[in-house]
Amino acid sequence: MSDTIRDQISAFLDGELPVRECDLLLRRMRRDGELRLTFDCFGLIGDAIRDSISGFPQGLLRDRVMEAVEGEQVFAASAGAWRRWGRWLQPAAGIAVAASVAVVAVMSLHGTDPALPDTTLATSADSSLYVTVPEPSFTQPGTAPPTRLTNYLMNHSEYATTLGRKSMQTRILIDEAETEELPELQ
Amino acid sequence: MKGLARVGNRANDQMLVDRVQQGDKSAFDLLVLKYQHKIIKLIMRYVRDPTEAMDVAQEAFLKAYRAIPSFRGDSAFYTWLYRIAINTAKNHLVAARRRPLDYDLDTQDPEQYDMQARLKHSDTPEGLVLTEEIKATVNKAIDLLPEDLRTAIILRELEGMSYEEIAQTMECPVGTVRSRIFRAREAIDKRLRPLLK
Repeated sequence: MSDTIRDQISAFLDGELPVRECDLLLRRMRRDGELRLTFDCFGLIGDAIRDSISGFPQGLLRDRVMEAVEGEQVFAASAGAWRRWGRWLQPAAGIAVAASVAVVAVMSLHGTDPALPDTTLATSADSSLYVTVPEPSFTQPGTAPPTRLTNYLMNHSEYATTLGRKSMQTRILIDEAETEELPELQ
Repeated sequence: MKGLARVGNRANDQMLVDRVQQGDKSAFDLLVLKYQHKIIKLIMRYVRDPTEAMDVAQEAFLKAYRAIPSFRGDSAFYTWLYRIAINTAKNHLVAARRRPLDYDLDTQDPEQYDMQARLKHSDTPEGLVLTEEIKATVNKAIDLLPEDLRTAIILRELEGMSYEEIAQTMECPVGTVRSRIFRAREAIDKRLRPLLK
């Protein structure tokens, strides 16, 4: 072990090692038990000067703690990173969901794919949870869009209320559907 | 000093904590090495029985390890560890239905403990012998140091001065301070090692 590394350990212990040298030193200490012993001894000297040594055999507590820690799970490599990013990801995910709902709503309004069955808009949901609106035949183009829209809104209102009803357009459409279309269906 | 920014003690600990959070257990080893004496002495203010105190200290460190993923660095690592240690000791006493010895101790202030700790000793007789032997060896080694090395290590360890402050006090470059402290530690370490084997 070179004097340079021991000198680095001394400075590191005091929080005086330049940042750019810390990473390499820590990697070295990870591999080399002798370096960790030096870290321990230098720390013990300080504790002795400050009269704060515990009256236990040196290393006993450390050995017991590290033995117990060895049995513990290793943290996910990115635990810290996830914590830092988490606060940004949560609202971003909310925005993404809102955006995708808006896109689906716009697509259904424009009827971009008439060949697509209407029920595909809510395929992932349990159909028993929703009111099924009788569908008119595609041969009646005049009534198709409002009914499709009503189906969509009713199917999705169970889980998209907080997002969907924040949209003025969706709110108007829901109101229209409730006041105009539903009585006709009964 | 651009590019030579020093880490600082708190940031130093945070760097080790970051590594533990990324799965590096050896970084936790360094934190244990650094704070083992402080923690065991703190716990012995509550739990007088040495065997129990050792168990409680181990439990406190283990709790800290398990909780470290949630450590956000709002306080210094040692302050956080100090609170865990005190709570672990108190819980231990409650579980054993005994009144804590030092409930008047400020659980938020590690510095207050450092002052009070000097007033009492509760170590084992064998431990005290070893402790006294280590202290005597270190003190003797310090006495034998050249004046400049002795002053540097005392200002650092007893007064808690930064290298910059010591450099101003001793009117020398920071690099010289770093070198003097290192050489002082090396000289003391040579006398101390045989005791630890």
